[in-house]
Amino acid sequence: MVKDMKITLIFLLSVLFCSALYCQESLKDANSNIINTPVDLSASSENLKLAYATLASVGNYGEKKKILKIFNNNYADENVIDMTIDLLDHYYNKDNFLENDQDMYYDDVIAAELIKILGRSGAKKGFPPLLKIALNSSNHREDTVKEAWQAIEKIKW
Amino acid sequence: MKNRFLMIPAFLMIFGLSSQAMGQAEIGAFLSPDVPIGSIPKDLKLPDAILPYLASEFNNTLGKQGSFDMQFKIVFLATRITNIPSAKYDFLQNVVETDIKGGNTSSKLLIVSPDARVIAIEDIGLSSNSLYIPVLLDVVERDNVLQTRIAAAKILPSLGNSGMIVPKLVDLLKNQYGSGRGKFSEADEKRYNDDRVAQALIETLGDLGDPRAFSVLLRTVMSPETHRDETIKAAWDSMKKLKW
Repeated sequence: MVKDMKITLIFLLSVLFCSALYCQESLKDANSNIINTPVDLSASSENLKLAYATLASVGNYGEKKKILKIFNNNYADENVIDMTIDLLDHYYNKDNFLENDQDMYYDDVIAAELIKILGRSGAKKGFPPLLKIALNSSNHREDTVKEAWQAIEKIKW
Repeated sequence: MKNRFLMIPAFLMIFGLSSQAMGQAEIGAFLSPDVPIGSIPKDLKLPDAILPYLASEFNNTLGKQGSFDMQFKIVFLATRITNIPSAKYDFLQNVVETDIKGGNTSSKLLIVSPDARVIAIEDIGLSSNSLYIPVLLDVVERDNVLQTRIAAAKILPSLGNSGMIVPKLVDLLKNQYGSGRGKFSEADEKRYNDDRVAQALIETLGDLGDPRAFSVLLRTVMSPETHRDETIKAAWDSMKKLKW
């Protein structure tokens, strides 16, 4: 009787273990699907709206990094340039910047990426926000400020 | 033979490096050691179109504590404007004159970075435009900052000898900076600084070589108790440079 119970218990535990393992693998696949799913990188109005909204939000570093591909892919598009300028002006130039604050730090990494995109565009209208970042060195990491100077150098006057 | 070929690029490299170093030394001669010049790309070439933004950012800094570094960067960018003719000189003149026009009587009340004003003065000098002679003479006469007064005095000859520089410098040396004052004392900081400006004025008179400067140079060497040794030596050297 006791032996039967032991066998049943072992069987149940094995089933439980296998199903847990299966669930974990499925989740892993699902996650990797999210990361690897190729995003539609066109400059469609919907895509740009989504990218802007994501980049204007707080936190979401992983999502922001991913969605930046849309801007990167369309760096010469006028809407992308305007949105990048707007983001740098209103969301990525904070007076109270603290490098120790994780959210602020990662946002500043995104700011550096946006600056690179603006630099690649060479757009003249990118000068005012780039100037603000280059001058207000306490609002950013040193690397971000360097990117701003480099982007100013790349402007096609 | 092969060595000769190797020597040519080596010479060019050394020559290039040394002339670059000289250029930097000239710019840096009157600047504070902690000025944030290293953070700005040296090869920037900018158009007049950026002036409104620079002027706006500059005006925003006025009266704000800790804004000297930012002012320096703004003025440095203005000096990188390369189109000719350029409206940048009006902006630079404004930068140079802001503290004088404000009637500041103490260097503790400065609202514009002295380093920013020095590079503005240097760039005005590069214009070779005699229109700016009164601006620099005003700095020499009315400014409170030592480095801007010296920079203005040294840069005056690059704006041409319009005839108005020598009489004004002679007058300043005779009265404001000169031998008309009592015995020189290094302990008196104002007097010490004034004498450094006097030395710069004397050197400038030598560079201009105008014989009208002779009387004041003679007066200076004849009253060594009213100046530092360096100033007296500069007066002798300038006398030798006069073109009779």
